[in-house]
Amino acid sequence: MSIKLTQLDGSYAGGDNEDNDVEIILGSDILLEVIPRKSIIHSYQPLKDFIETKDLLKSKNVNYVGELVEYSELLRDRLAHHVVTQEGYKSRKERYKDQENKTTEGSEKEFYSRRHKRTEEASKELLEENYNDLIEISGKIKRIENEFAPLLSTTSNHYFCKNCYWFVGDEKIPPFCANCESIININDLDKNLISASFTFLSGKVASYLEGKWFEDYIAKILKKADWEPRCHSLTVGVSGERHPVDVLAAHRKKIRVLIIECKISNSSFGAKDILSFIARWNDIKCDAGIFVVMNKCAGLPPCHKLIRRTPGLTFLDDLYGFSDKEIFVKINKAIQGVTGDAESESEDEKKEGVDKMHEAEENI
Amino acid sequence: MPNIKIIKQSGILSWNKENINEAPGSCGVYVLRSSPINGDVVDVFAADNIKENILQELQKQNLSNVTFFDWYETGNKEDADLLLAELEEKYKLHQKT
Repeated sequence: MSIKLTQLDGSYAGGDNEDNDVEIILGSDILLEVIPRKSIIHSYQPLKDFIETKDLLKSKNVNYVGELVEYSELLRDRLAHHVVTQEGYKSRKERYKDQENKTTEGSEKEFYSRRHKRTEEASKELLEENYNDLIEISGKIKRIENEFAPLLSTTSNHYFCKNCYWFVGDEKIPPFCANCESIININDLDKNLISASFTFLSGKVASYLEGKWFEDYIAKILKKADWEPRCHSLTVGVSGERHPVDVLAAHRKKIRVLIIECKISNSSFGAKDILSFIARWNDIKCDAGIFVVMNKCAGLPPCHKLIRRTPGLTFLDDLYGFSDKEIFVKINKAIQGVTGDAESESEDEKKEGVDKMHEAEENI
Repeated sequence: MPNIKIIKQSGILSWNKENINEAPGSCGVYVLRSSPINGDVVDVFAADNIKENILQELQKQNLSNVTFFDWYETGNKEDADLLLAELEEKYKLHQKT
């Protein structure tokens, strides 16, 4: 038997559209159209190493990641603050300078001259203080990285004027400081510039580590039990709508389709997310849906009961601090609970399932 | 690497109309950033008129993540194109993963 695909329109024609690749998942009573989306994990080995960490949710790595993300964000904010501060001081100095030039000799001219000088001193003091903060934050990130097996951060130079701590830039160095006009010799940068080596998570890595890593982790667990997962993809529902799905998984032998919504803690979702998940599950028409939260939940929105009352859906939380094996058992039980597979199987199938699970647990 | 002549450059500035109005109306390259840290680049463009192009970018709705920018005045299109290619390579923009 062969499978023939006939394209009726040009929706999937070749081109530069990154949504161009489409996967069709076919099985008994199953026809799914999945549009994979690129993720940084495919091209960045340290992230793959992080996901493959044994007993990841029980390891220190999860805490380290949280700290790396937090400090990298702080470094970005502090540098942004540095730039805004230096602009503010420059603007003020220019105003005082203008006023000083407009006035003739006398106390008023002296006043503006003093103000100009004081602003210059205050700006240098504050920018130096801010610069020291930046060095300290970067130092904390470096110390965390030293204890952390997969090195996720990048290090790059950022240049500050030695005279006034003006942030000069990161790539193309100008011939003089825009603030104090100290000349910068491109062949002798150390003379007038401080080259601060900052360690931080790049924007894409930080964004991935804020939550998407958990989806890849759940997919890793599912793979151990013969599920074929797809992460960060768009799945087309019966309505024709493309739904972003955290984890879509198809079971090769049991011909089941499962969608999973992954959240880190109950502060990262609200009623809208739960209702949106239910709507997606309904439109995609899969066998089961699990709303998974890594941390233990307290104070859930009332509509989470909809999940518990809807056949085919289940809610699972409190995975943090458990080994891969324990999480595998929890997820397996949750899936069996909503698909009813454990009850409908024959004795032989049950035994085969238990053997397979034990084998998978051993491999985990 | 060819020697690219940069007449003037701004340094990294906050994304606001006041700073944009001080950009030159001549040929060069401008960089849009989500933060001043190295690598947080949204996109890089070459322009015949830096100020006019940046003002047009400001009108666009889909640039809410742009908070900083910088510009480089080259004076001629050739140097602008070379600088654009250099910065795109440096910041790994428009590369298929």
